Amino acid sequence: MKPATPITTPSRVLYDEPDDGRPRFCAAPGLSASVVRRISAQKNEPDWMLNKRLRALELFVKTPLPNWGPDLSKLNLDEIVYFVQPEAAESKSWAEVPADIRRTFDRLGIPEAEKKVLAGVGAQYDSEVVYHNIQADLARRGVIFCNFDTAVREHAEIVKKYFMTQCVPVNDHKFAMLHAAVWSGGTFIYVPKDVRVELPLQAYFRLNARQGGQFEHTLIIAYEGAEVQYIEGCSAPRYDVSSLHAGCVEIFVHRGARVRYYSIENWSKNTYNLNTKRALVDEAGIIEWVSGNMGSGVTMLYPASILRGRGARSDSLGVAFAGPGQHQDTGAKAIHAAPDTKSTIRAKSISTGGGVCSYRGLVRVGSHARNSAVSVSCDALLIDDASVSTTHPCMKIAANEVDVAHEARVGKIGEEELFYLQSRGLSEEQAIQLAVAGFIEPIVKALPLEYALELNRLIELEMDGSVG
Amino acid sequence: MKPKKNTLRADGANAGLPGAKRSAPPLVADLFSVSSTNCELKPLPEVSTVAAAAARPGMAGLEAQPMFSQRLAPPIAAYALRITRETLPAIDLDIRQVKAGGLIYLEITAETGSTANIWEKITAAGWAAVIVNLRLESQCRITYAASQTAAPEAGSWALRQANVAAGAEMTWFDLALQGSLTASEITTYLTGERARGAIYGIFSGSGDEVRHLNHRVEHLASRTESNLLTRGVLGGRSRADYRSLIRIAPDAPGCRGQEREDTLLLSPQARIESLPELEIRHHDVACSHAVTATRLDPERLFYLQSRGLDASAARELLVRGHIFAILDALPRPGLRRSVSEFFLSRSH
Repeated sequence: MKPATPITTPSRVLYDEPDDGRPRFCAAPGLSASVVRRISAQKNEPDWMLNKRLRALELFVKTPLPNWGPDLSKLNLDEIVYFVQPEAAESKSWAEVPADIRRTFDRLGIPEAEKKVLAGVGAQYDSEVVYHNIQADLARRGVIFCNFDTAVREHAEIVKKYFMTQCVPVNDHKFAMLHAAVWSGGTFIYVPKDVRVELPLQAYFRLNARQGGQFEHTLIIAYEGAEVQYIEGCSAPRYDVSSLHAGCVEIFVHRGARVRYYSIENWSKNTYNLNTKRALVDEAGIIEWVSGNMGSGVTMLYPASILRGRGARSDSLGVAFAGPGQHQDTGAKAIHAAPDTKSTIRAKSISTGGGVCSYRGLVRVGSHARNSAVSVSCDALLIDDASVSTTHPCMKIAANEVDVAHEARVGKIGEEELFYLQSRGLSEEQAIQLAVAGFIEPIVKALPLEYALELNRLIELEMDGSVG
Repeated sequence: MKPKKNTLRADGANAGLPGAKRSAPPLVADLFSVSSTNCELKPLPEVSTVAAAAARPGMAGLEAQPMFSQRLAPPIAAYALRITRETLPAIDLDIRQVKAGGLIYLEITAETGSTANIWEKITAAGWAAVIVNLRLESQCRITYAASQTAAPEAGSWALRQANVAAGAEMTWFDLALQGSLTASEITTYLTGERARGAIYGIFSGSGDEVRHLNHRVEHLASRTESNLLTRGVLGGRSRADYRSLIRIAPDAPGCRGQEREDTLLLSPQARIESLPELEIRHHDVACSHAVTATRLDPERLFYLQSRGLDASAARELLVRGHIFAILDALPRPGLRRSVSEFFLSRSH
C-alpha cells in the first residue's frame, strides 16, 4: 500500500507574508507617557484606566529586564509601535468585515463551518477586534463575550474589580507592567453562576503591521459552577524588524467552576513572545491549560495556576516546537495554597535545526496545602545534533502531607522505530514526521479537531526540509 | 612487595617519607590525617591562600558563598595525594578542625589502572572547609565517600570535583548527615570516551539544620554515562536545597544520563527545594530525571504496626527503607555501619 500523501501542502509563506492592510491610526515607535495618553484617549477610556496605565508605565521604566532565561538583548523596546488601529471599525457580522481583512483570516484557515457553528468568533486584526459574534442564546443566558475595549466601557464595574488587580497585578514583572501601560484589544468573557457554555468560544489573533506590537488582554471570569472553554489562536507575518507580543491572560475560576483555555501561538520567527497567563482557582474549581508554541524567535511563557481554594485543580498540557534560530522557553507553574489541591503538568518539546527548547517550571506547595498532589512530566525530542534541550524544573515543598513527583526524559527518535517505518515503505522524512506526530499525540488529542489538524499541519510545515 | 601499613600525617610528622618536604607551607596542626598504604602524600607549597585555590579551574564560587567566606579565612593547608596501582584500596581521610576557619585543599591523582575507596570524614568541632580536586587517569576506579558529621552547632563546606579520563569510573557518595549547615558541591567532568560518573547522596536534617547539595556531571566525551541518585530525610524545621545538572556537550554523542532525588518529609515544617536540570546539546542521547517529595505512607505504617511493630519501629524501618538503596551501595562495611547507626540514633 502506498502511504497516503497529505491532502494539503502547507507553506510557511501563508503565515509569514504581510497583507497590505492600512492602519487607521498608528502611534509613533517608542513608549512615553504621551503615547499612553493617546492610546487611552483614542479609546475614550475612563480616568481610572488611564491612571492605571500611567502608573504601570512609571513602574516599567524603573524595572530592569529579567536577568534569567533567554537572551532579550536584541529586543529594542524603542523601535516598537505600541498601538495600531486598522481601518475597520468593529463589525457585527462576517460580511461587514473588509474584504482584505477577511481574506487574511481565510488564508489562516478559520474553517467556514467553524464560523457558523462555533459559539462566537472574535478576530483580532492588529490591535482591535474587528469581528465578534455571540450566538443569541448565549447573550440571553447572561454570558458576556466581547472585545475588551467594549468591556471597559460597558461593564466598567466588573472590569475595574478584576482587571490587573489580584490575578496579575500591574507590578508583577517588567512585561506585565508594559502590558498594563499599552494594552489594547483582547477578549472579555463573563459566565454567570451555574451557566455552562457547551461550545468553545474562540478568537483568532493576527499581528499584521510592521513593527507591530500586540498587547491584547484576555479576562475570563467563571462564576460559581460555571463552565466555559476558550480558544485562542495566533499567527503573525514575518518582518525584518523585531516585533514584540506581550499579552496577558487573567482567568478567575470561582467555586466549582471549570475553565479550559486553549492557545496555539504561531507568531512570526522574529517576534518576542513574552506572555503572562495566570488563573486564580477557588474551592473545587478546575483550570485546564492546553498550549502549543510554534512560532516566535523567543518565547517566554509559563501559564500559572494559583490554587487558593480547597480541592482546586489544575491541569496543564503544553507542546513547544523550536526550529532554526528559535528559543522556546516555556513551562508551567502551579502554586498550591490550599489543602487537597491537585496539579498535573505535562510538557513536550521538539527541537530541530539548531532550535532551543527549555522547560522552566515551578511547583510550590505552601505549608497550608495539606494532602496535595503534584505530578509533572516533561519529554523532549531532539531531531538533529545542532539542537538543544534544557530542563529547569523547580520544586519548593513546604508541607509534608503531599505527594510530589516530577520526571523528565530527553532523547532522539528511536532508530528501530524509523527503520521499521521505512521498511514499510515510508520515506525517512515521512517516518520522522509520523514519529513526531506520535510524540505529541497526547497533547494534540486534547485539542478540538480543527486545531489538532492545524497543529499537526504546522509541525509538518516546520519539519519540512529538516531531514537530510 | 608486601604492602606496609603506614599512617601519614598531614601535620608534618611524616616528613621523613619520600615526597614530604620540610619546606611545607604553614600547617595547621592536626588538620587531617591520611591512613593507607603505599600512597604518596606531598604538601603543595604553591597553594597558600583561599583565593589561589579558588582560582584553580572549576573552583570558582568560593567567594560567592558569603556565609562561608565570612567564617573561613586562610590558613590553608594543601596536599597532593597520589594513588598508584600498588596502593591498597582503602584510604581514610580524617578531617579534624582545630582552629576555626581553616581550609584544606587536596589534589588526588589516581594513576592508570588504579583502584581506591576513599572515605573522607569531617568530624570537626568547628567550621570546616574542604576542596578536593581529583584526577582519574584512564581505566581507574575511584570511589569517594564524604561523610559530613560535624558537631551539631558547626557546619562544613565542600567543593569537590573529578576529572575522569577514558574508561575510568568515578563514584561519589555525598553523605550530609549532621551539622547546622552543610553545603556540598560535587562536579564530575567526563573528559574521556566511555568514562563513567556516579553521584549518590543521602541527606538528613532535623531541628533547624540546613543542607545544600549541588551535584553536576559534565559529559564532555562520547559514550559517557552518568547516574545521580540522592535520598533525603527531613524532620523538624530542617531545610534542604538540592540542585543537580547533567550537561551533554555538543560533540559528545551516545551519552546516557539519569538523575533522581527522593525526599521523605517527616514533619509539616520541613522544607525541600529541588532543581534538577538537564542541558542537552547533542541529539544522540538518552537522559532523564525525576524528583519526588513524599510523606511516610500511612498505609505502610499501619501495615507494619498490624504486624506487631510499635509506631516508632515502623517509622524507623520505613526511613531506613527510604535510604537503603544508597546505604546498601556504600563501599566500606565500616562506613555502612556508621551511617546505619547514625540513622538509628537520630530522631528526625
